[in-house]
Amino acid sequence: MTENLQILVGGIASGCLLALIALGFVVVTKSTGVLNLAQGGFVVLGCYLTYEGRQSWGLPFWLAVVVAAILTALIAAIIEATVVHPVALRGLYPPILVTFGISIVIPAVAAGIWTTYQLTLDDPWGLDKVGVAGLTIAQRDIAVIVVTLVVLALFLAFFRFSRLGLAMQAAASDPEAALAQGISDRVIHMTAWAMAGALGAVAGALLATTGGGGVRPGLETQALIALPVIILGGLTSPAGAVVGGLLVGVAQQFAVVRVPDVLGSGFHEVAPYLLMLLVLLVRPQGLFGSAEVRRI
Amino acid sequence: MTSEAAAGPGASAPSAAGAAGGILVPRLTQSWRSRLFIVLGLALIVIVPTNVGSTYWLTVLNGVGVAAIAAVGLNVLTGYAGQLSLGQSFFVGIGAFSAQYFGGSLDLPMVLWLPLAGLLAAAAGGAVAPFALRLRGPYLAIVSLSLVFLGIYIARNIPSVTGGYNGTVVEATATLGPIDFERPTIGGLSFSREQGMFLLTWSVLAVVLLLVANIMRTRAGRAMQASRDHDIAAEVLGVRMLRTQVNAFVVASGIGGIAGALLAVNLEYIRPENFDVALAVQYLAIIVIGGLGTLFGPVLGALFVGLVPVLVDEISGSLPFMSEAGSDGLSTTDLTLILYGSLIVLFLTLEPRGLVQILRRTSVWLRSRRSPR
Amino acid sequence: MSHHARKGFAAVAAAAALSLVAAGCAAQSSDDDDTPEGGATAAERELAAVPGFDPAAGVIKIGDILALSGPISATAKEQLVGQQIWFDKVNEQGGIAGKYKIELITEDNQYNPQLTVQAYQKIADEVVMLSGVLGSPSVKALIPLLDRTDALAVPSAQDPSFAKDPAVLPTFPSYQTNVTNAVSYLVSQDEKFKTARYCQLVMDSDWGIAVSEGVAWVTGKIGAPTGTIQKFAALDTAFTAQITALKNDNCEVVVFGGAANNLPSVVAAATQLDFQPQWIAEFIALATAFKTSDIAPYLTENMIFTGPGAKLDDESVEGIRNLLAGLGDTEITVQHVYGYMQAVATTTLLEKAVELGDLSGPGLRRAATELDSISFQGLGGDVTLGEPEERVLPRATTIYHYNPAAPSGLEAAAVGYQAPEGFDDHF
Repeated sequence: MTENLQILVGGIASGCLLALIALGFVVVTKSTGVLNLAQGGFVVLGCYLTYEGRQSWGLPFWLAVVVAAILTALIAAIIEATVVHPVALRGLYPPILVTFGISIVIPAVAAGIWTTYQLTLDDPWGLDKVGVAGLTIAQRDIAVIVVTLVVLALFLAFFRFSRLGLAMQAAASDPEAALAQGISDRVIHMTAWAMAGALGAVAGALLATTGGGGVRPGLETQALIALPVIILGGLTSPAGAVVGGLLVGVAQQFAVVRVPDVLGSGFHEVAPYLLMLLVLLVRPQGLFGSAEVRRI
Repeated sequence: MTSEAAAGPGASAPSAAGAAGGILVPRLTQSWRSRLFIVLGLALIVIVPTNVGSTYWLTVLNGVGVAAIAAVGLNVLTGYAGQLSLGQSFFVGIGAFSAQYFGGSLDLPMVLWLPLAGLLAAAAGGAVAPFALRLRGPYLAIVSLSLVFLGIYIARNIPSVTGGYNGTVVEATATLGPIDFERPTIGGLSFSREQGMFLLTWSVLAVVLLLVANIMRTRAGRAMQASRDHDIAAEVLGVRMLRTQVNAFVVASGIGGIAGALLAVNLEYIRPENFDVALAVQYLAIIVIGGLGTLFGPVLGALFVGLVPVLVDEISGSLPFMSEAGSDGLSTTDLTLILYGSLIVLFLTLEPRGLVQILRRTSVWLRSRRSPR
Repeated sequence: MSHHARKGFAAVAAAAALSLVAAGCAAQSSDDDDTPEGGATAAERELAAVPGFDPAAGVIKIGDILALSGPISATAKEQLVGQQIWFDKVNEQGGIAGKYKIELITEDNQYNPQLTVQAYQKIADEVVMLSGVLGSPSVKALIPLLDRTDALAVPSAQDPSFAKDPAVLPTFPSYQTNVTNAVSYLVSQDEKFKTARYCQLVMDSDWGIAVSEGVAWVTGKIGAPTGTIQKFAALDTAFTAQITALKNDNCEVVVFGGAANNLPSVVAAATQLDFQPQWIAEFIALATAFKTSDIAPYLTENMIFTGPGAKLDDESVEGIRNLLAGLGDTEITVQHVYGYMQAVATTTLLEKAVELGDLSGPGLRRAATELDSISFQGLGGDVTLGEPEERVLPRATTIYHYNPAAPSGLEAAAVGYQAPEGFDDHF
């Protein structure tokens, strides 16, 4: 029992990271209709900019993360305004492929600046842990869970209470309604990308901690793991992204140790996709997605 | 959307040559210009390999040819029928391992292993098509991506066919009757394996292009395009959606399987992770950069995706500010990736309809300059 | 319509015929015999020019195909630096046979087998051989081409199948051998490891399979019980589940088959669950940055590492002395040693080939069969050469303890350790 609970906690922590990355996908898809393949690039930037803040500028950890998130958000907004926006409304494919081009560029630039050596972030948690009701939990995992909850709360508050957030909501269902509110699609798209950038950066910083594996190259591929999550939860649902992330994180951890050998090696790698397919068989729009209306 | 294969007035009647020959009789030609292009293209299939001695450039071009075939297949599904797929490398993988299984393990000749690779992949495409039909846009994209992950997982777990994690050397032989593409000889002259592979790969590409051009003129092909442009209207007008989309899936994956078989004999060693997400995205990049729903778009796109990194690499190696190999800083390949990614962004921002459109506009512009006021 | 088409095909046929006329320059006559002439004894014959070797210029060109970009490029570049140090040293002393300078040409394969083949074809006509091909998959992808062109490469990889392949000049012990030596070393230090429970945490890959083979063999030999084998994927960052399973299985020794980007997460999970078995890992799992990381104490306490090399600051060892001199202020790592050894294998072979008077591909392959063995200046065990089927990979492994004060954190505990238990023939 303790063992299962222990695995459950580990799954929740890794699920929260997936959720953060998935939220980045969702906010862009929901507001602009673009599937953003460059999200992994923001994870990379978040990781290395936090490192830069710690090591070169001597910032305290939290400040370094916030600065990295702001910088990445800025970069994301600039990318949107300069190269994505011109094609955003020109069909489904050109914007996806433009983001594909960006996803090639960012890791290469990062490798040029920060090299590909494994580096150390010196985060506040290190390997510290706490005991809770017979379980031992890494402090870093608790931090991941808390950060995810805070980010989600900020997210929901933004969409519910701010004028821009409301406009973005409206734009998702009806682009003209947003214009009627006096907010241009340019602002909405840039804001969505900035949010995606910040979300990716926070995930990147958490992955760069010692418990997350350290500052290292190749983090862009972590975003690929979040793809089934966004479909599972429903492509346009922030709540779905979080629930989907938790489901996948937990399921994957149990798949590691509780799956019989007959299913072959590498099963836990495809478990998220199998879970996604299973959900889609029942609900083609995902757990929280709204059924798509086919426009005539 | 314009496309060479869109039903023109001259092609609206079914071929008089009979139903069976319908898709094999070449009917690409609408003007002497395009006929000239075709003749030139076919001649190049022989001229290029016999005159290019560099095995390096031939290997690069053979890779382009194989990618073009796979992309022509994907273009049927995504370009003509409007279904966004990131799963093409799954079908290419099926073709590759089938080629090795039938041609290598069972030692069947190429006349059998090449079509079998296509058929097996086509069957897999037909099997997943009804499921995919329920999904649209990004949903289908990501679900098709799951095929790629599942494919790698399955391939790693059937080592008797695929070699498992270790992969397998490809023993299938590329011979067609008296022609041995791995050691071609013509009139006392012998050519390298790469030259033979060029001949094989690009000839198959020509056949596949011909096939697709003619499929798009059949009723089934026009139904695909109708379902892309106005899917509900098409349904109302009697286009059977399920059958149409299944058709598109089957053709796309079948061609992908053929590409995979050729990839296998070109590479001579294949591993499950050869057929990964990066490859799938590359095929999509090829057809979008080249021009969606156009016959020659995939070929132009494959040339772009295959040659640009190689050419940039040639240039960047001689740039003064590059770091020396072995030292830190920006490596040549990093610069290549940055320029390659930027070019993709640039081209799509300038002309979202792809290279075909850029060529078309250039030729219109040239003609308008030539013609007197 | 069909009339026009027929005309078109006639034109194609004509064009094809024309192009064949122009074809001569890229073809060779079928009855051309491409083996180099033998005959006169090597000493009295001038060394013939071959692609990559120009006797007039006195330069032998060597290729090295490795990941100069991508996630593992940092460590790959260290291998390159190690190679260059030995080649510089040889050139300083006059070169191969005292007169032929070595020039290294590098190509990037991004650790991708397909790009490896392309990269090789780019430089195949400019080099006499390859002093490195990084990654077992890349080496395997290249072998068919090497065989067709009678060429030779030094693999920067440890797959045991390379031992008897005429296309490669093996340099390193296999993963299986390293694991065997590490377990044997533990037993030699403390009797309790004879009856300890051996488990594994290995990557789902051919590497993981190789490690498992080694563990199965050596535990069978010493009669130790074996426990669970936990797997992970290269991109995994959460290891609580695997560590929980290892802990519940009462594992006392865990063999880790993973890389440096996996190790911090593994140590984090093990610390979290207070799991402290004896760990065995390859040096590939280490990064120099770990010395200042929070995981350093755990590594010091619980892990031993295997690899080539000696005491990394021991100037009495020839290889280490040359490396330290060449590296200057740069901290020495086992990756440097790894690259250096490939360079030593390369120059040893070239010396023999020059002695035999033939630097062509077949000449180099023959030189490899004429050599009895290659030694590595105190950095690793000898590789036994001779006819391909008689070749045996090195059997010696250096065992390191972790010590943040030592160069790159590795302090040699046993240099060139060789298990008295012996080895399976195919390791």
